[in-house]
Parts: sequence; structure tokens; C-alpha cells
Amino acid sequence: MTKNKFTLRRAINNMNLVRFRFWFQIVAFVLIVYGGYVGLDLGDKLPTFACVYNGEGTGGKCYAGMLQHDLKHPIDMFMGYAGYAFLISLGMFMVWFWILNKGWCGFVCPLGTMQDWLTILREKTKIRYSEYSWANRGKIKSIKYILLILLLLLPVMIANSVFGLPKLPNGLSMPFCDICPGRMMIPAFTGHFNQFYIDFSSKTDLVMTTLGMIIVGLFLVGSFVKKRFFCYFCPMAALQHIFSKPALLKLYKDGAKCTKCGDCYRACDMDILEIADDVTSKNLVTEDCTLCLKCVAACPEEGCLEANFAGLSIFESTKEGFILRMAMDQHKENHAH
Amino acid sequence: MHTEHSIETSAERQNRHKAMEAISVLNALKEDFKSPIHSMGYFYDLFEKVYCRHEPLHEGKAKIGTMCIQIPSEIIYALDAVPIRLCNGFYTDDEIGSDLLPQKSCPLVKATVGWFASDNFSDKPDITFSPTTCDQKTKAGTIIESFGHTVIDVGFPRTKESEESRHYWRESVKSFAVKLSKFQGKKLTRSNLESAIKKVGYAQSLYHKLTEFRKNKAVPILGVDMFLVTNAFFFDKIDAWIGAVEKLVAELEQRVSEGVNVAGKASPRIVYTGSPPIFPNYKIPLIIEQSDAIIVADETCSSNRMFNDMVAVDEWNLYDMIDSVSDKYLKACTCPIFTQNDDRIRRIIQLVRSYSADGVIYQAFAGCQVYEMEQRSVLAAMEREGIPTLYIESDYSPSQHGQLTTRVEAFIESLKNRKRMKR
Amino acid sequence: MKQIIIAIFLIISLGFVSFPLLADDSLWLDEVKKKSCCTVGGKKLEAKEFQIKKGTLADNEKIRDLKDAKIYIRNTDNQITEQNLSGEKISFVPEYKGNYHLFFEQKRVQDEVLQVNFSSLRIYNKEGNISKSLLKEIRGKTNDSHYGLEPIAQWPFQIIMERPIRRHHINCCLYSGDIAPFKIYYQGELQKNIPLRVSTESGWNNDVKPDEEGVVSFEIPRSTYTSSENEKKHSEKMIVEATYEVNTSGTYEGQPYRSVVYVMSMPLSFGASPLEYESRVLGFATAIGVMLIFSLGLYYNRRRKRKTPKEIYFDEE
Repeated sequence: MTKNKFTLRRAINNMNLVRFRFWFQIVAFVLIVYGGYVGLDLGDKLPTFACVYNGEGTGGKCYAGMLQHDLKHPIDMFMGYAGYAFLISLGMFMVWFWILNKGWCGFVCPLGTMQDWLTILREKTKIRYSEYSWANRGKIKSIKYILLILLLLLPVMIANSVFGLPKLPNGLSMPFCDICPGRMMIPAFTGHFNQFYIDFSSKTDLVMTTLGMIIVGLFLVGSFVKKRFFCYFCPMAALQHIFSKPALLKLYKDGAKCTKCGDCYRACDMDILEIADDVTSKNLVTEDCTLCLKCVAACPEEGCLEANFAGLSIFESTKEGFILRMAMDQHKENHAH
Repeated sequence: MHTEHSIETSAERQNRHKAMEAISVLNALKEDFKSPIHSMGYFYDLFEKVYCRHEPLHEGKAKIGTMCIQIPSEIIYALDAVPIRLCNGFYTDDEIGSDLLPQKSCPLVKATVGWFASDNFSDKPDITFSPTTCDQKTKAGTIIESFGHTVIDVGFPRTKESEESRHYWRESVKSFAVKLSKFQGKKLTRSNLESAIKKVGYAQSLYHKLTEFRKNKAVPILGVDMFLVTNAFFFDKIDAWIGAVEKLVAELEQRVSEGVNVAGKASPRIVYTGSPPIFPNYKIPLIIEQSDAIIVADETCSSNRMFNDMVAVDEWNLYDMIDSVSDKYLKACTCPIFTQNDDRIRRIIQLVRSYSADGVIYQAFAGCQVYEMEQRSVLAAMEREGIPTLYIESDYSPSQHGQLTTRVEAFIESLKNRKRMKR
Repeated sequence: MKQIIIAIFLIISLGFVSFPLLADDSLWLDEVKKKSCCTVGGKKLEAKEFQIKKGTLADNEKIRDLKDAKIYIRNTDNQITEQNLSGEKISFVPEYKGNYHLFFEQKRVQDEVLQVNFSSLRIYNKEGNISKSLLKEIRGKTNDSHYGLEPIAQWPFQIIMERPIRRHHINCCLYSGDIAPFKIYYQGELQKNIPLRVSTESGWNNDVKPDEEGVVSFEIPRSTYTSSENEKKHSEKMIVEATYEVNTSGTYEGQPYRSVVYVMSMPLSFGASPLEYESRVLGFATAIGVMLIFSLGLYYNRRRKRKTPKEIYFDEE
């Protein structure tokens, strides 16, 4: 019977995605947070959070930091070396990014991994998760674009006087790094808690570091009750969404097969409505999507959702896969959990 | 000669009439078609037991009557009760109900109300839950209550796209679960709901395996047999049903490998949609299959829709499982009581494509407002896709047989012609 | 009475004599910082300019004649180039962005003693030649470490700075309160008994001895500078020096010598410790306070929305 034949494709489609993703995230976390100790250096244009404040342990640096640094040059210097450096950085970022598209968020990012760990903790303690109402979800979508614009604009305004406005103080020089929770949390995993401080040397430093402390507090509690809380506000996600169209890894939906059962929406950490309700579009990597592929794993229709790498379908939703993953393939009298 | 005379009570007469209806359908199923399936014997015996001999099946367990598909059976199983779907297909009960409801009402609702009015159950429900789906079922709730039965209304939304309606249904299901657990005196716990979801999911997966066979060119099982199997799920013990279907799947695998075809080579493949054909109201499916066509798929709430969508849970804790269960019953539902019916149209088109069907037969009960009103948009969509469709109205009375046969046979002839022309 | 006066005079003269001994004349590399006015277009790369200073940090002068001196420049790829010097200016054009190490060497025979003066300086170049450093830009190497490098082969005597031990959060530079470890090498071997002389701009001088493993470390002093209220983040200069005498004889440029004295200096600069203007306790308190407020708010919100307990017949067990 062809049904019971073992093929690689069938094995992949039936895999336990949640477990695979859990281990992949751990490996990526170890590489990014501890890779520097073994000499791993992935460069400083990574499309994921890898904190430069981590010191020796870091396996790379995130592009957000590089971007702020690149833009903090006076305009005439920008026309020379600094401009070339900026273009080269941007180009390398795009090349890194196009390999996994938003999958960097769902599979590699250490902040995302931390949030997923907090979610697992909450699930074990049987505390119910929180959800945004649809109206609120629409309202907070624009926050990440605002943060991205500030990230780009503030360093420029430190080195130049824009529209006749006075130059900004140097305390704002890495504005996103000051408020990013990664700066406090990632070095904590190598034993350095020294990023938890409030800087009194000038007013801007005071404001920025206090904001940073508030945000890390919100991050920890928010991620405990809401799945992937920080990802709604992440400017890296906004930056990535701009370049997302030509990327190699895609999430495709065949709307004709969709019954709008909403199982994918239930599984989605980011509560993306379009994955369930949109039956006309083909590419469903929306601005919030982290390409975690939980939706593909939760879809019961054959061939409706698929993860596609450079035209090749690598992970597809199948009936058999769904039944295996929900453990509905056996008739057990008493299921002890 | 002194013979013992006893005048039949009305209940006994009703039972006799129902048994006659049931047995004639069962005999037709057993005898009128080629290549009978051995495993179907379980189902024929089951229906005979329940509808001809009126034997109770669920002694000692709480029986929860449900008026419509939307009441979550997982929660009922979790609370150690048995869900019994009360949608009725008997003309006998329809006649009783005709006195209690307006003349132009849906025959299914009339039959159900008549059944309650006669209070003649082999497995009488201890409590009935009635979701506010179509108008007639909604109003039938209080009528049934007036006969002395316990009926509890469960609020069901008429739209399913908006956040409020989805939230409303989730709250409805939670309050339903609370009422049922108070009635049972049991708590809904994580482990019993999880095992109920997995058991029902397993039953659904077996149905999926069955329908996969119908995608083949040589279909090993009749459409009416499939209707019988799925109808059995209304009232059968779930473990027994699962066991019987497992045997059926094994036999069908055997038949597929032997290339057994229950239809002819040139039999047109039909997708059946519309008002649910409930045993013994298999008039139209029988006519279709007796006219040398085969029903390969259906979009009805007594058959395919009960099994098609499975519950998907993200976190196996109670807060998520209850919401998953309620979401599945609302969002995937293609019942025509909703305002928009795009999902139903897309579903029918998808069934036609994946089962390589030649035509669609859309049957609506005379008096079923919602199915009759949807006819326009469904037929227009079928025409756009180039799928030949037949629209029939029928009800439970046995007098229409001739007319219906003519129309169905004509349609099937036209489908055969089309196929011949294509070749 | 006379003895007391003589004693006092001796003490005073000793003081005069020893004062220059305490504050020895040092010789070190210094960068001439240019005002960043003239980088228009940036097409032509700026050359970096250096000079040699002699004296103490408080009171020094430029050496005008460098004809006996050489300079080695180590770039980011660990390649070393040599340059002979003349005049009073040292300049080179750095091609890559990153850390460059300069090693200045001057040999002179004086009183039959060969005086070898070494000085090393690390500079960070912000802009490079874009066409030469394209691959480097693309690669974006993050670990461009300037600590713990190997001694260069050309020098027999060298001080190497290891990674400082810090308690604050800034990774890049030296700050007061940090512990700066050094290693002194002669002929490629770690020396364990050469003391290190440290002097800062504000007048703190000290001789530090190495420990059993040969590492000389000291804590950069904190409050020996006049505190300026307006700028909390100012920087100050420091020179670290070591001297080693070897009894070998030979000739250098026709002049005989009987012993060699190596003196190596390493100029550094450090800033005020961030721990002076930052508060860790407040940082943690803010974070934890926000977490508590948020959690309590959520808890009360959920309590309010939930039905009264007796209605609920659910159990998560």
C-alpha cells in the first residue's frame, strides 16, 4: 500500500513541529549567546537580536545596533566612506535576511526564544493566556514602525541639524539599544547583570535608561501572559517586513482548500487573523508573522498551508500529520497525561 | 373461538409504522445493490435494533439530547454522558408534528416535535439542549418544553466573521458546559475533556479514511451506506461505532485492492448537498444510486459536516481546550443559517474538484427557508464554475416518489451525455 | 644645632634629588588629534599623525629629532610594516577601519649603555579606504580584540595589556575602578620580577610588582582627580612603564656598549567609572517594580472578569 510507504516528504510532513522548533531554538540560542567563547563570529549584520553588550560570548551582532551606528555621521562624511559602509551593511543584512525571511524571528532570535520559554512556563502552571481584542491589535501594529523611524532618525539628528532643529545630545546615540530588552536579558545568560542600571550623568541618559528598565519589566511580565508579547513592538520586525517580498522562505496558502476552521489562528502566537480568514492571497507572511510554522502544523486540510523554500515545498499541512500531532490516531480508553 | 384481542395503543402503532419505514429502507440497502459490504451488517443490525425493535442502547447513562450539530459532543462525552442527536427522519412523526406546527414548516422539525409530542423514545433524553440555529428549531424549543421535557436554549450567533459573534459563542459553550456539569453533578476536568477530544478526533479520522476511498475511480462503498454509517453516530455507543468503522475501513481497503466498484463504469459521480437526509428519509439518495449514479461526497450536517473539521488545540489545558472546541463548531460551520455563505460555496467547489464529481444535487426540504434561499447564490456559483447542478425540493411524504425519480433520472442522463460528449 | 641644620639641608637636597627620580622622564607616543573640519567628500584619506613626547604627563615636550628611531605598525590583519623616521612627525595612512597598534623604537648609546626606548600605542581608525576594505565590511567581524595579543617578534622586551576586569557594563575602554592586568615579556618569555611603574596625569605614581603568575595588575585609581561637576564623563591620561637592564656588550653604529637598558612605555587613557553615575539598585528596583505593578494589574483585571467561583465547574487538574 502506498499509504504506508516511508518517504522523506511524509516523514517531514508528519513531524512534531513544536518539538523540532524547541530544539532548533535552543541550538540557535547557544550559538548566538555563547558562540563567541568558541570563536564563532557570524558578523555584525545579523537580522536577529544578538547583543553586542554580551561581550566575549556573543556570536554576532544585531543589525539594529549597526544601523544606528552607521547613521550617526554628519552628512558630508556620509557621502564618503560612511555612506558606502552603510550600503554594504544594508546589503549584507538583506542577504542574511533573505535566507530565512521572517523565520529569523521564529526560529533563531534569542529574545523570541526567551519569550517562548516563558510561555512554556506559563503553560505548565496552567495560567490562562491573555489576548488582545481585535481593535487593540490593530492599534498597536503601528508602534513598531514608529520605533523603527525613531531608530533611524535619532542617530541622524545627533550628527546633523535636520530642518534647522538643534542637534540632539549624544546620550541618544544608540536610542534603540537603550530601550531594547535584549541588552539587559541576553548578557544575563552569560552571568553579567551589569546592564541593569540607571544612568544619572545627564538628563537624556536618565530618561533613556529608565525607559529601558521599564521596558524590560514589561517584557518579562508581558511575555509571561501573552505569547510573543514583544514581537508586536519590535522594530527589527518592521525593518524585515520591508524587505520580505523577495525572500526565499515563504508561507503559501491555497485558499480554495481552506475551510476557515480557524485552527491556524488558534495556533498562531501572534494572533494573525489573516492566516485563517484570508482565502484569496497566496503569500501569507504578514507584518507580524514570525514564520514559526505552527499554523502549518495545526492545519487539518491536505495541502492548504505550506512552507516553501525557493519554490520547493518543504513542509506541508496534511491530514495524517494533523492527526498524528494532535495524538488522535489511537483509540485509548484512558489517556493519562 | 375466543381470540385475545387487544387494541393497539397509539405508541405501539407509531412504533409499528416507524419500523415499517425503517425496514423498507434497510431492505433496499441490503438487496438492491451489487457487491454488498460484509461489515455493513453491523450497521444494518444496529438500525434494525433501534428503529424496528426499539431496543434501548444506553441503559444507565445520562442521555443528552441535542437538537442540532453545533452542541459540542466532546463536552458531553467528557462529562460521562451520551449525546443523542434528535434530528428525526420519520414520516410517522412528521404527521404527528404537522398538527402542532404551521403547514409550511420544515419536515425535519415537524418530525422532531412530533416525536417529543408522542413521548415514545427507546432512549429518552434526560435533558435537551437546543442551539438557536434556524428559526424553526429555535421556536421548537419552547413547544417541546410545553410537552413536559427539559429543554435548555444555547445561544448561537447568526454571523461568524466578527469578533463579537465568536466571543458570544465561546461564552455560550462555557455556560452550556456549566449547566451540563451541574446537571450531571460532575466536573469538567482537563483529563476527561482531553480524552473526549481525542476520542471524537479519532472517530473523525476514521471517517476521513473512509472518504478517501471514495476519491478512487472504482468507488468501493455506496453513498447511502456512508449516510447510514454517519447517521449511526447520532445515537450509537462511540466505542462500538469506532470498532465497527475500523472493520469497515479494513474491508474497504481489501475491496480497493480487488478493484471492487459498487457503481457502473460510466456512473456519474455526484456531490450531494442541502438539507440533511436522516434515516429513514433516504428517498433521494436511494433514487440517485438506483439510477446508476454514485454519491461520492456530500455536504450535509448529518454526514460529512459532523466529521470533517477536527478540533485543534494549542495548549492542552482547560482554558484552551474549551475555546478550541467552541471555535471548531462555529468557524468551520457551513450551515446556511449564517448570513454569508461563501464558505459553503467554496466547500462544495472543493469537494467537486477533489472527488472528481460530475454534478451536484442540491436538495432542500420544502419549508426549509434557509436552504431554499441559498439556492440562488449556490446555483449561480456552480454555473460560474461550470458544474451541472440539480435543485430539488422534497419533504417526508411518500407521495412524491414518481416526480422525484423522473427529475433525478433526467439529470443523471444529462450527466452521462456530457461525459460521453467529452470523450 | 649645626647638625640639625645640616640634616635638614641634606633632607631637602635629597628631596630635590629624589623628586626627579620619583617623577622620571618618560618617553611615549602621542597622537596629534586634528580638528575634524576638513573631511569634505572624504575621497582622500586622512593620514594619522603622531609625535614623541618626553617628560612627565604634567610637564612634557615634543622631541624634535627622530632620526634614530623606527616605527612598526600592526594593522587589523596582524601584518606588521616598518617605517624609518625623520623629523619630528610620524604619519601613516590607515586603510582599514579598526584597531591599529603602533610600536615606536629608538636606540641610542650613552655612556657605554645602549638605551633602547620602546613605546606602543593603540589607535582606533573610524574610516578606512572603502575599496580596500570591502571584504572586511561585508564580513563584519565583531571580535576585533585589542587585548592579550602576542608580542611582536621584532621587539625583545614588551609590555602586553590583557583584558581588564570590570564590574560595570561598558566593554570598550578603560575606566577608573577597573583592574588592568599586564604581562611583561623578554625574548618572548614572561618575566615575573619586573615591576611596573604607573603614573597618571593627576600625579598618582606607583610601582606595582607582578604576582606569582607574572601578571602585574592594579586598580585604576578613582578619586585622585579633581572632580569636575559639569562633565561626569571626562578622561585622563596614564603611562605604564617598565625598565629592564641586561649585561651584554656589543657595538651599535660604531659605538661600543657594555649593557643594554630597555625601557618600554605604554600610554593609556581612562575615564571616570560608570559606577559613579549609575545606579544598579535603582535599575533593578525599577524593573521589578514595573513587573509587580503589571502583574497585579493583570491579576485584578482577570479576577474582575471572571464569574464568581461557585458558578465555575471546571478543574485544571
